[in-house]
Amino acid sequence: MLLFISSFLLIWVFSLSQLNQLFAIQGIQPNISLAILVVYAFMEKDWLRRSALVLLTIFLLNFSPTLGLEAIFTMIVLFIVLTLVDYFKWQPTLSAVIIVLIATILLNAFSIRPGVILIESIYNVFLVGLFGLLLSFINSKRSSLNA
Amino acid sequence: MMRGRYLIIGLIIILGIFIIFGGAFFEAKLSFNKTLRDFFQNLSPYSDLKIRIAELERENEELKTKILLDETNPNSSVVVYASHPLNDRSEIAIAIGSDEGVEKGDAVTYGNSILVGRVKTVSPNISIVTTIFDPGFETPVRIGVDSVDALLKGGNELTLRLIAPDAFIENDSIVYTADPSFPYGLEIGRVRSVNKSEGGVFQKASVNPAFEIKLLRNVVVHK
Repeated sequence: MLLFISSFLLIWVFSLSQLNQLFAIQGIQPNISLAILVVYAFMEKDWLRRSALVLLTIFLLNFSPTLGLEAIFTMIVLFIVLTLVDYFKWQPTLSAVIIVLIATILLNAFSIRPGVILIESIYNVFLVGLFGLLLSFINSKRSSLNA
Repeated sequence: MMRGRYLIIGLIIILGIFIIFGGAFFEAKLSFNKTLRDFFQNLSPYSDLKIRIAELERENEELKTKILLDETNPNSSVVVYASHPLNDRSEIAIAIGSDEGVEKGDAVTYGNSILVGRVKTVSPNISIVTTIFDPGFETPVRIGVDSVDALLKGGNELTLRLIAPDAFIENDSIVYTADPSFPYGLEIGRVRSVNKSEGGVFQKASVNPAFEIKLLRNVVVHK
């Protein structure tokens, strides 16, 4: 539960930061929520908890008063990403990088701007590393508490 | 263990309701986001200065524009709640809607004379604005004192296309709107560089925008 609550709070805070472009560099901002979700999915195999975090992400990032096509498409992509986590059996770091790259391209599928997608992908991969360290630390604390 | 699962299931149901009936919570979510943004802004020692610099630059641009073009009628400003969270669409949410007469297609400016974008969707108290940074944004513009015609293409980098091959454009020339759906003469930015491609029919240019979207706090809607 500690890992779930930590991820929940991280997604809450950083999704709101995405709405303020707090971490945008040269006008391009990373998809922090995506990075946290990918890392979490490698550590937590329970689909109920994964689904809760996906729905939280959609709720916070939905930029419309109604449930539009964009929100539905984003939700589908995020669930595809979580499914890929279970199918990629390679080394976790490499798998996470590839999955984040695929997700970034899918989420920008309607914007044919290779430069922006490339830079955003680099940011997202960097964040996967960062949150991977953070959530691994939290996960190790969870293990030591359970021991 | 089972209690934990029931909690997660309850959370999923609640989030599902929030998403499906999003309209009721959209304004509350954006208000909370604005509060959080203001809180983080107050923590940073230089954020006030950055916003003050942006405001001064805006006033400076407005004064320059007034020298060159007619002044538009002043309207009261409204708060910018948030920017679109993904890179492929540049939209902002503003704290005004149909209850105050806003309609789809209304022009939105920073101050009175710098174009931000146009209203895309309207709710009773909130409107979503497509900004000039949206990749799909296009509008006819004119450049500089010679009023050279061009087409502005939106995106992370603003570009000018369809510039006549024999037109002379200087760097730092002002770029302003010439679209009948906007008030005439709203500033968009200044020319950064001109690309006179050999063998091409038209010239191209890149534009430095007159505002930074992440420093946008208030805008004006031209109803």
